[in-house]
Amino acid sequence: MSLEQLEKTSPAKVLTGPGESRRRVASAFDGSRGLMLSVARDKFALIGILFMLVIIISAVFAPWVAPMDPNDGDIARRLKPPAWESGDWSNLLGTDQQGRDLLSRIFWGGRSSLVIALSVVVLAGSFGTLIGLLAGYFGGKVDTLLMRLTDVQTAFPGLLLALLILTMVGPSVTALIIVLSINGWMVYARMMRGQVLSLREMPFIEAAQAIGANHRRVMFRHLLPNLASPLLTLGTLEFARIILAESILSFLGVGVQPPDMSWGLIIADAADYFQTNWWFSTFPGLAIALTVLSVNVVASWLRTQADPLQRSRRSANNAQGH
Amino acid sequence: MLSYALRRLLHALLVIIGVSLVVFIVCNIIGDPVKVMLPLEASHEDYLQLKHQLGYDDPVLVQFGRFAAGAYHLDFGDSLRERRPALAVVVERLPATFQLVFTAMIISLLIALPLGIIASRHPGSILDKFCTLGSLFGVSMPNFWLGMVLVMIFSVNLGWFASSGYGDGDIRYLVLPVLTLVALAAGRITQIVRSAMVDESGKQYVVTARAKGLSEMTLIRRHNLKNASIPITTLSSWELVRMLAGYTVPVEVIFAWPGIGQLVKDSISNHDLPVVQAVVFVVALMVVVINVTTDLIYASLDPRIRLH
Repeated sequence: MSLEQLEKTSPAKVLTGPGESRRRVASAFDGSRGLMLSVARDKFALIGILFMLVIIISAVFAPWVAPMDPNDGDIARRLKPPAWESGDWSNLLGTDQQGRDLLSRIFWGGRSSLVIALSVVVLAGSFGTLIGLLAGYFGGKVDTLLMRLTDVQTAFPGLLLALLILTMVGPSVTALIIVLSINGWMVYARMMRGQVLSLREMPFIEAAQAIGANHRRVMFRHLLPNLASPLLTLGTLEFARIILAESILSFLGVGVQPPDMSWGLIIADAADYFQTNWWFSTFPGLAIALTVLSVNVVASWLRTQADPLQRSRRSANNAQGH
Repeated sequence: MLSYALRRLLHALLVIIGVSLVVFIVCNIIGDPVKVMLPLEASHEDYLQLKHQLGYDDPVLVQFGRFAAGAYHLDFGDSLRERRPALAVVVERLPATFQLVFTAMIISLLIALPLGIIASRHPGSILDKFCTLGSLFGVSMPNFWLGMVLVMIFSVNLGWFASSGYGDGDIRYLVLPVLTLVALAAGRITQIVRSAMVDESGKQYVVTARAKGLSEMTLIRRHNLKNASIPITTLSSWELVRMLAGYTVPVEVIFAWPGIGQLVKDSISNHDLPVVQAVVFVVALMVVVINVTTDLIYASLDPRIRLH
């Protein structure tokens, strides 16, 4: 009998098999219907999710929704104010110092900002999760060593080291993704370790070990699925943080390089003009701020959804408040 | 207590060694320092000559020995641009950054503590929602952009404050860069104060305290705040570290503030590698000092940490 079958048929399964692992995740989210209902009830979360969708769609479909070529400038039309100020509706949000359409550049810029943030969350999240799983599951010397490493790196001046590394290896999107991932895995490791420590003693882990699942199987088939919801919340929060970090590095000139564009890079272009041409820096900045704001709102909503204790406390508080 | 302090010091030492190792590997093995330092139009002969002059053609271990010895004596070589020790260039710029960061930190705490406490008293109320949303706005804005917006409003349009420069102690120059840094820090600290205080107010001892007739003010001050002080201290020291080790860079660039952030940006554009290394190292030292101080504050706040 294979381990898979054993896990399914073992009497332990009724209480503790991987089925339960999955059910726990599902119950954490109350099923997709409960989730929808809860979104509808929380207006901020609803607005946040809708705005995120708009940003994601405009970034993914930038080649089709952008009204103009983002790199095609007309110097005769440089620094034109937005349409409602100039009366000329060919450039809705105005143009930049080279006469390029600002709206199109914001759509295309969102593309790189989102792709970079997503890649970093996936890379740093996978590595950090692995470290946290290993440290929490094995404990002892492995734990001490890995957590010492995590603590030490947490105390590094991350942004300055990122500046130094990107200067040395030359700025590029790949380098940016790698550097931001190296800077960002520690939070995942810490959180995962804490979660694993509290799960490790649960009966379903013991049961899995008892029917002969090896360490890898216990870690990835039994522990990991139970960690999905805190991981999702942390990943969302980190996504917002990475968008800000990327914009800072691109603004300082060591991130995304022209002719590619990102929101931070457009603001860097605007740095010489923002005192006289307000729209130039305002719109890409609003794109960053509103995106990060809506991701943060969604993350804090996810956290209350995934944590039943907090959810009940919150509804109790709401009842108290009204 | 002694073993706790020793453990934290060992940790600090590891951080310094780790940062030095990363700086060395990045600057000497992954990147080519000579190429970074030379102007683009330099010939291959110039390259070889500078490489030899700076000792970058020696074996890696010899270079590392030299680097470690230098770092131990805080000697990072001469600034290529100013032709004097890089460390001196960095130390000169520290007071301006300190002025910015510490003012911002004090104001953030003055805003965040009362705001967080008030919000935590009535979770779910209008006031609480206002504080929560306000702090979310604060943490969601890229600080360099916020700086530009503040300049547009308060300096270009209203003419209240200076738009950039140091102004030698003139407070009108300090207001906008400090405000820019405060938005983020105050937002994050308000969030943690609120959630730590909400957690505390749900605990059993609160019932006892109320039952024995303690006033709300005394309850907050003597019990809740004292228990919540550990997460608040942690996060505040984190914010201080984040400001020093990064957030000041774009803010100083926007406001032409003559601190280490501006220095780092300029040194990168000028390919002045010794200065960049010195800044990274000096900041790492400051971060370690802040962390050790925080650890000692913990120990004085919570006997469990001291005795563990």
